[in-house]
Amino acid sequence: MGLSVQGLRKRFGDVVALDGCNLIVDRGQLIGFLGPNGAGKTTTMRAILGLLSVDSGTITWDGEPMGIEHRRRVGYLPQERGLYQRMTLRSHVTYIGRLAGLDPSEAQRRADHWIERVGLTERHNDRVQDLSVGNQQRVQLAVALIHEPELLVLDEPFAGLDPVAVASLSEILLAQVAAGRAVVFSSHQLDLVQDFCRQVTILVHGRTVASGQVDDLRDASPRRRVRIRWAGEAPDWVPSEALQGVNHDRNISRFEVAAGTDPTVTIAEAATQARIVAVTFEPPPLDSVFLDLVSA
Amino acid sequence: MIATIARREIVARGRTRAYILTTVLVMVLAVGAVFLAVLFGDDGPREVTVGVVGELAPDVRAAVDAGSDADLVIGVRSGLSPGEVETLLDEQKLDVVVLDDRALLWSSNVDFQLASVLGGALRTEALLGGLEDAGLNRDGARQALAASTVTDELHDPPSDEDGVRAAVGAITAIASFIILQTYGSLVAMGVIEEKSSRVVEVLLSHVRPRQLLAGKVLGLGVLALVQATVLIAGLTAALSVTDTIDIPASVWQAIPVAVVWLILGFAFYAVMLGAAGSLVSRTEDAQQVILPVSLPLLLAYVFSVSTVTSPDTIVHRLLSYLPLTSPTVMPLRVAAGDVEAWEIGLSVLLLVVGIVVMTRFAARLYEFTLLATGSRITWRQALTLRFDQVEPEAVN
Repeated sequence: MGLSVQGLRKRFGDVVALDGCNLIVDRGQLIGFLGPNGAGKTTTMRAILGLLSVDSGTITWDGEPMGIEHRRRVGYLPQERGLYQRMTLRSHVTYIGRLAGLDPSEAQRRADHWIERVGLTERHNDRVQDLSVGNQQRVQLAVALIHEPELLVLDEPFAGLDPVAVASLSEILLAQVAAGRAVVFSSHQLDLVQDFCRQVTILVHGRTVASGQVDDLRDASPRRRVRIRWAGEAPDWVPSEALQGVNHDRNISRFEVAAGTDPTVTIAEAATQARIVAVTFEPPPLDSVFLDLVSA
Repeated sequence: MIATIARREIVARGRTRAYILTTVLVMVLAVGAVFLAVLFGDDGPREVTVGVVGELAPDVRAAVDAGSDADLVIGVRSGLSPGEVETLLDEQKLDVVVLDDRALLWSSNVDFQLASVLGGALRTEALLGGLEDAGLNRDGARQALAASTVTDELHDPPSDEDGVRAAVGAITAIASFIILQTYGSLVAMGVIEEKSSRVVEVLLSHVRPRQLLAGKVLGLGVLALVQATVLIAGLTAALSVTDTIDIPASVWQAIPVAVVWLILGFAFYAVMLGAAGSLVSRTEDAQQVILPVSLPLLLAYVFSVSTVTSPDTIVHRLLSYLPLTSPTVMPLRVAAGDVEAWEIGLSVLLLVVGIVVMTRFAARLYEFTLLATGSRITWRQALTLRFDQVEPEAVN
């Protein structure tokens, strides 16, 4: 049980923003919410937060329609900005804690805790505007976590972050998941998603087109990627099973075959050409699966 | 919750250099205005100089000397040549020149009090001359003319109080206008800032839109009231120290009235401006929505200038009842005196009703528009509360 979004539809005049969006985020689960620009990810998140009314569809938490009481237990990180630029970060995080219903001393205590957790203790008296984009994102995360929400909704939390910041943010999110919280974040940095998130939901033109384990989605691809490393220079060879040409690069050949192809047949054919050092036979990476879904 | 939001507004705005500076400035201006009024207000009698080519007849001279009073001191320079007269007029050392006992040549404008004294004396002298020529004894003729003197009396003499009322009224109108305009705009700007920075999305996941609007209006209202109090305290302190100006009772009545109307007027305008602010999402567009809402305030201010002199015309009475204009016009009418109790009651009632209606409308508008970022919402959509056509900002 956790968050369940079913059949969300929303039009803005002639523009269809959502056209059958489904999203399930269980407790203790981290879901990457993927989709090209304009797919409706932010609209869905705003609908979950009650910031936007939808034309049809349901949003429930633990089976109950998401109401104002449930939404009090949601932490939200809007895409970029989302902070008062002239407030100091300690007073800002404390203020949001107060709005979330914490008493002054508790809000203060938790603000200090989360500022420390996101690694900004030394800068707690600085104004938000004096922080870098990455550090502002950390403050936003502290704001989203101040009331220890059961559900975290994060809109592009990794946008504009350097690898170090991405690592520390991922670590905090994984800790939240381990603590049993439901976490959903949107992103278009697919390489990053594949690294630390096992489950994704993919939205295209307002419609959920795929949802599940990253590995399962990759396995479901109708293609496999073959990479052969030769002992010497790659031979001038076109595999009979290759779907579209071959890419030879010094001692490596890359090509794709249909998913049902028997690897041993391909390898046996290759072995007749030259001596092989290594072979990989894998489903395409997430970004390739994603592109297939988007262009379909 | 509203108190928490209000407190943030107070701390965020109240600590800015701009707020502290303007508060100090208001105090300095209030005290300074009183001292300037004392310094220049009572500048003693007017001193005028009459130039005479040749000499004045003794009777004329006596009448001119007798014409000086508390307001006017008449000096005479006689025995001037026409050339000297020309030079002295150019140098503005003469206010008027008597030519041939019959004509007055004024320097640049006619001083009617002096004209009355001088013209009367010259006319009397001419008349006496004529009567003498007709064979009458001069003394007898003078006595006969003295009996014909007409005296002027004022039923309602102007007093210093009128000046003080006008001054207090003007200060009240200017202060109300500036405070309503400034802090009302700050409410609108604050709403736009929250919308453009998307802080509002985080805030609204914790509080309701109307709580947010109420907290903002309350917080900025407190800051506005602090400055108004500083202004009033500065004025009264300076007035009580100088002790040279008598304050009419109606002025003391006008101060609490002005404060009440300031609070109510602020609530009315701030709520309206807050809702107007939610129509746009970029600070560059702020003036587009602030201007149409604050226009009635500007008109009321312009009208309030004439309220000081004619507080009881139909138009001014009407303006002092209507919620859009009463915050600046009614305190002025009270300062000018003679406002019936029922008029004050009616005005307050209409303003309170206006606040209730406006708050309901504004809160709905605010809720609808707060999250519609991107293209500007038209007034037509706003007034009909129809937003299905509003597209959201392109988001990733």
